[in-house]
Amino acid sequence: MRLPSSSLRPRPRALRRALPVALGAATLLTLTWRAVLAQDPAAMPAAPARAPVTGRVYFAGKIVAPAPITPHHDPEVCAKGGPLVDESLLAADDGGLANVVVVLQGVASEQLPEAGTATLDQRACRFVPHVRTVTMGTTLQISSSDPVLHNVHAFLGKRTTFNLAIPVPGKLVERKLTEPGILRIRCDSGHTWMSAYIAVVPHRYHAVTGADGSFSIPDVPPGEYRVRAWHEKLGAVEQKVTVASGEAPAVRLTFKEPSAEDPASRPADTQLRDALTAARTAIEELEAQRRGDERSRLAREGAPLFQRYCATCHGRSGDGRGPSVRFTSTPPRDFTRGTYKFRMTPAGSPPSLDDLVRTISVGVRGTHMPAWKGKLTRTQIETLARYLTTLSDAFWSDAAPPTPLDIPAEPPYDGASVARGKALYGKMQCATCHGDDGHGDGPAAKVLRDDWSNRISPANFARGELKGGCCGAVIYRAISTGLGGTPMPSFAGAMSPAERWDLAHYVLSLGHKRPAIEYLLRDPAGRISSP
Amino acid sequence: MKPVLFAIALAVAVLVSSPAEAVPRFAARNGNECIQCHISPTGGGIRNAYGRNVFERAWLPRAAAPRREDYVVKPRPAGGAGDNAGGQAGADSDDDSDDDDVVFDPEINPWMVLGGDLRAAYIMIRPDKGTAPGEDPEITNSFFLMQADLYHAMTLNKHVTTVLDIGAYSGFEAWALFHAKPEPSEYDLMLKVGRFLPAFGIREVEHQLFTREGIGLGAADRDTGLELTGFAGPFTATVSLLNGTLGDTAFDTHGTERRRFEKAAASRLSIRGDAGWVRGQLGASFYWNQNNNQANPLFGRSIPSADAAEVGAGVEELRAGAFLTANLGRFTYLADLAWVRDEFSSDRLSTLRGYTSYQELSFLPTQGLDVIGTFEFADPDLDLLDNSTARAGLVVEFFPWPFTELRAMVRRTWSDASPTGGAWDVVVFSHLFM
Repeated sequence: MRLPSSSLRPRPRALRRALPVALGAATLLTLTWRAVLAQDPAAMPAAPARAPVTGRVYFAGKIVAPAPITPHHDPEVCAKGGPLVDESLLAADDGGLANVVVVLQGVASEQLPEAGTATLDQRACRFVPHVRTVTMGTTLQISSSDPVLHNVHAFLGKRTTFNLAIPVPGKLVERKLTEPGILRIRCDSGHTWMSAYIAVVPHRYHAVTGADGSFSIPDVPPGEYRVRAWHEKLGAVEQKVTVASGEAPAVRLTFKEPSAEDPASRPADTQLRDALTAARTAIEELEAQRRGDERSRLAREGAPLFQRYCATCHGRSGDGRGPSVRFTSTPPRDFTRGTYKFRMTPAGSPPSLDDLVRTISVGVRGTHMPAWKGKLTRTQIETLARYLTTLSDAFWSDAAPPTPLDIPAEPPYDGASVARGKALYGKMQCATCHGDDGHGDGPAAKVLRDDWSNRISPANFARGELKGGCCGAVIYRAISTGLGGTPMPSFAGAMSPAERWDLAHYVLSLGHKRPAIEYLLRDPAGRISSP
Repeated sequence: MKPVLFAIALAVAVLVSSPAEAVPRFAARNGNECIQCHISPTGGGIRNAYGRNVFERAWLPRAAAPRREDYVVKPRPAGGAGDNAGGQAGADSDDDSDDDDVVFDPEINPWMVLGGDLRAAYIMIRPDKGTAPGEDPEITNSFFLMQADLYHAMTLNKHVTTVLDIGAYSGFEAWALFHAKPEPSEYDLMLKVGRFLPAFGIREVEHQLFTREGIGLGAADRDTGLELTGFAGPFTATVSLLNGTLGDTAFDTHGTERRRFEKAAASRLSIRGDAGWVRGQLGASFYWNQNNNQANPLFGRSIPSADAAEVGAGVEELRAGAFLTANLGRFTYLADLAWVRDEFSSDRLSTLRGYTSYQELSFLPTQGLDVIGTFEFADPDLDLLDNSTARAGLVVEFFPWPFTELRAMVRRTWSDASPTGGAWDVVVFSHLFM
């Protein structure tokens, strides 16, 4: 709120009274600070000695050899690293359990170390390492050593946080990890066995157990802590530990055989994420309160429209389970996760308000989602868009809004651009899902699933109809930001803007070639809203 | 009454009967069942929230085509925290403001909704010849109100809905629907209780088809009873128990005059399939009326006028039908076959058997515009040689705006049973619906 200019002008009488008080206070502060600086450093009390917290994590259940995995996709590449095995439970003969995330809890707030980097490679169709921990703010450097398409599709809980394509060996794609929690990572490009976990911790005291189950967390200040261990399959256990000055007892943590009744095994990542989330400062709480009030207001304004026009498909709570879904081949979007296909925002980010307004206005081709522009007023569409933001926490995080994609001017659509795009189509391994001719029949097409585990088919470019709509810019956008909730990753880190335009032109050219028979017999006739 | 006047009266009566039906072509095209758009699980009448708010408003009419720039807009400058959710959308703020437009909605409140169908038409019927040798054919040339139906539905709770349909011509429907699984599930079960049209074959909007009114399934042929509909995966089954007094007045007084527990039963079973680019439905229907009080309309000309009074002694009627819908891209095909048998209580009348068929092939050049070719055939004696009637039509349907239909139809009838022979008819009408 802008104050009237008169309120900013000091009043002469008040100034005369305040000036002596201010001068006195400044003098006192100066003297005190000089006295502190004058002290001998040797005379100051020494900081307590830090000590490493070490220990081992055991598995008390039946130890069996890891199950072998037969790669049904890209077998010649995936077999190069030796036999593939299920890495979800690796225990030594004495029970030492590998790949366990170990985190100290109860750590006093301290400044995070300078943000570093951590790597995640894809080697012979495995994520390397399978499990790792990083301090919040770390930049993850993702690479691939395989000459096949991989993508790193990361989930926090059920929500996609990023989905990045790594189509070229040696290419490095970076992603800063700013949200605490355990990222579950998978590859959608037909390598259904590939998985990894990255624990993003809001302090520096964390480790992952080695092959024998041992771990070490260095430089822990004295104090009482809880050592919490999390395993992807076994859940979480914890134990108290006291670090005295310069020494700490060894910790022994034991996981039991998992059982369906064990509640700890189910919400483990959720529990840990909650525990990892640092307490908010008072200012943050106030800001959260303000946002909460705003969210409630938007929800009140938009609910009547949503219930009237949207709930029949998307459900009254926006979970995509409305009464009209029985006969719909494409499931309506579940808004509660905040995951949207068509965005100008980076992969893993919620869409902007403009993104939502646009999708509501133009609809989603080939599905039951119609174009509402002209049927609802602009104001109603905006109200609905704001209401959608209230259905998911993803829109209301503390983080600053992501920078939207800037689409450069479209270069000429000509034979040279299409030819370059065709070469990129091969180099970026697009055929893995979309097929050699863009018919959506690539070798990985049959195993693709969306974030809700529904079967999903890659786009058939030869039809010339894309769900996102017409035009090269829509394809450019999909290449750049990916399609949220689907296996389609972002290629922004793998291609320059000019290359993305070339690839978009090639995809467009596939649709231009379609014969009349495609128009007559392949269009989803009841769901046409072409410009 | 002169035969000419009778023919005109009959033609008008046929056309003015309330066609408060569903459009199976839409369901077939989208791989749906009637209940996707209608409150009634067997279709027709008042639409549900999807039908009135999604399909009618946005999918059916000719779309105001989104502009190319509607699909991708330039990003606006990033704002502060929270702006992503609650800020003003504005990147395409050059968009024409339409906030002054009235957005019609028949939903009065969350538990009460109105609906309606209003059809006003122009009709021209030109028979090939007059009713008597040497007479000129009598041409019908008239404007008239085809239909004026007002619907009302109330949701008492998530399991119970009541529906009332008051038509200007065809009496009314009134029923309650008990819904076992209102939330999405693998199966569903609904019980309809009241007065409604029994489920049989394809419930085509053209009520005067040989497979609809031609066999006693016209808009006026409501009956009173129970109807149970179940959905399980691709299967849909409907079973109903009815008074069997089709074509009666609103209160089914004939039902009270029956001496014993004489009822009618109807059933309809179908299976849907979807192979991605082709989808369809295959089904069968049965109807058995233990003791009807009139002969099936298919046999109207087969009963000598001298024996017409004998029909009232009772008729046991059996109908069996099969139907198929298929959609391939922009083409949609519907086929409906019905076989009918009437056994009369009177010894003076012999058993009659006949069949009718309806086929329709439609093409959708663009959203909101349908071009449809139809072919019908009716043979009341199964011999395919005489007394048969065939009819072919060409229809153009246009939905320029939400809740608005313009329709033009040209049909040619060939008949060796009618004294006027064949006929050309042209019908143009406007249809407002909600």
